[in-house]
Amino acid sequence: MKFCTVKQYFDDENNNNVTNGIATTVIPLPNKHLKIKANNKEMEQYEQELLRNVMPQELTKLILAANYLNFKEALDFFCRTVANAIQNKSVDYVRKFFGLESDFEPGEEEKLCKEFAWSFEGVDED
Amino acid sequence: MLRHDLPQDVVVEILSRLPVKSLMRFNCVHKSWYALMRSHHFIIKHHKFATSNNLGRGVLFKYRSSKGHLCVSLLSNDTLEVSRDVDLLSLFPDKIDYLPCIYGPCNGIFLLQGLYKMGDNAEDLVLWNPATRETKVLPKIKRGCRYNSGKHLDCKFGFGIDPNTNDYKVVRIVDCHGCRQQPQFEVYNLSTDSWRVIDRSPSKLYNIHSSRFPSYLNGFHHWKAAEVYMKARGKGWMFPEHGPTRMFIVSFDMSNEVFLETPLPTVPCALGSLKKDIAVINDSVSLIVGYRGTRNLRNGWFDIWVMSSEIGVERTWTKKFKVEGSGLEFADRLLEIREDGLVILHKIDGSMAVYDRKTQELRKFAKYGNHSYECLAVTYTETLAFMNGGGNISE
Repeated sequence: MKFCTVKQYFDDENNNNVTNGIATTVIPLPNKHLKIKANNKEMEQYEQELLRNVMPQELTKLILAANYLNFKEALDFFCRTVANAIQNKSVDYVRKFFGLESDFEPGEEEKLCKEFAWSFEGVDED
Repeated sequence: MLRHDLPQDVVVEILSRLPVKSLMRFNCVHKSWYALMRSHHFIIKHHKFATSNNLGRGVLFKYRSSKGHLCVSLLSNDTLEVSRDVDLLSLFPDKIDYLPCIYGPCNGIFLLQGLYKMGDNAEDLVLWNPATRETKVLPKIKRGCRYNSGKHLDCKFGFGIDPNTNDYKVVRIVDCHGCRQQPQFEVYNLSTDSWRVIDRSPSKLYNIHSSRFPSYLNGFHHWKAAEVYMKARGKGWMFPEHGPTRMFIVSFDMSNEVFLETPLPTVPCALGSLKKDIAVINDSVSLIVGYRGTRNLRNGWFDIWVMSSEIGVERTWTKKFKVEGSGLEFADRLLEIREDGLVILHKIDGSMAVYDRKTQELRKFAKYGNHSYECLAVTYTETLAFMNGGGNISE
């Protein structure tokens, strides 16, 4: 069932969403998951390993691949990885990460930062 | 930095896995993110993810310091270490004298009741989200001339969610001792930010007890209640002159706004006092019955009864399990029976203890205050729900 989209991809020449390199990382994931599903610690270590070897740019491609292939587990895993990576980061970092620019009026943004000042405590340095 | 733009639904997936503190900071990232966090769909999605993955959990812990001050801390759910202290009294519009009750949590929101000594038993109610640190003061309840001033007004509350509209509701039971009046019932809707009197009431007259444990589950709020009778000529109600007082569980259906009443089970009665409390434990409405040892008066244990909850079927009670061990004392204040089999207690000397039902081990933690009176510990899951400015979550 999961692999219908994979077959579709291989039949579709113009597909930019998935490259060979990605396919080797994403597709074996479900098996790996099943093997070490029981052991959370092992999974965490595997995730950390993966993160170390993957650059943020690659991560986008991985996410897009998982999304396109409709791999729920892989998508969940990558989203969790990104969430963990950015949860302690600053507003600026996150903006750059998602390629966003602030669309607030200067006064508005300041007001918000003041209102939620407590949420800025303990944030990682950029 | 991401080269390709992620589709919006993937961004939502990532954001729904973030803790509330991060999301509150990321309100400043972009207007679309600010709006997303206030959308009904996202709030529910985020809370569901946290609940199913045991994320964003905390323990609200209230106690009296050795100097007698009210202290409230938020503890880590895993280690029970203090994450931060909270000054609940400062959340009220005026300086309150006493905080008798904390209701909830209902999807991560608490209802705080503050009392003022002066002025006719006046009180303030505040809705509080510990995760977003947002509060909402409820409109003051009009005390009409229906009640003679000077008579003692007794108010009990229930707090819950109408599962059909996802609206938060508070039900208020006004009992006027010394009046011939029957108790009056009023309901507050967060969606309309107003109170209204309802004409439904329980079929019998009850003295309803304030909840000491979380008492809301799946659209119902539950109270322990004693059946009472109107005095013949005098005003007010009284306990039965002959025979035992019959105890019931009275439940308020948040959706249909009607009351259900079921007798409590007849429990074996040992010598000495019996403590009975209604509590929601592991998604079941339970009755905690505390016993005192007969041979060793210091010893204590608890029987946990569970009420059946099928709709349309008569509600019955089943004795489910026992909490007992040599480390448990009758004087211990039972705070919480958790899903993971741990029981949080406050010992008479003020130390917090955790009793593991599986291993029967008792572990003592730090000392909080000098004794266990008025202590409270409740586990909650953080939520992003906003309560002010029409950001409520009705559909």
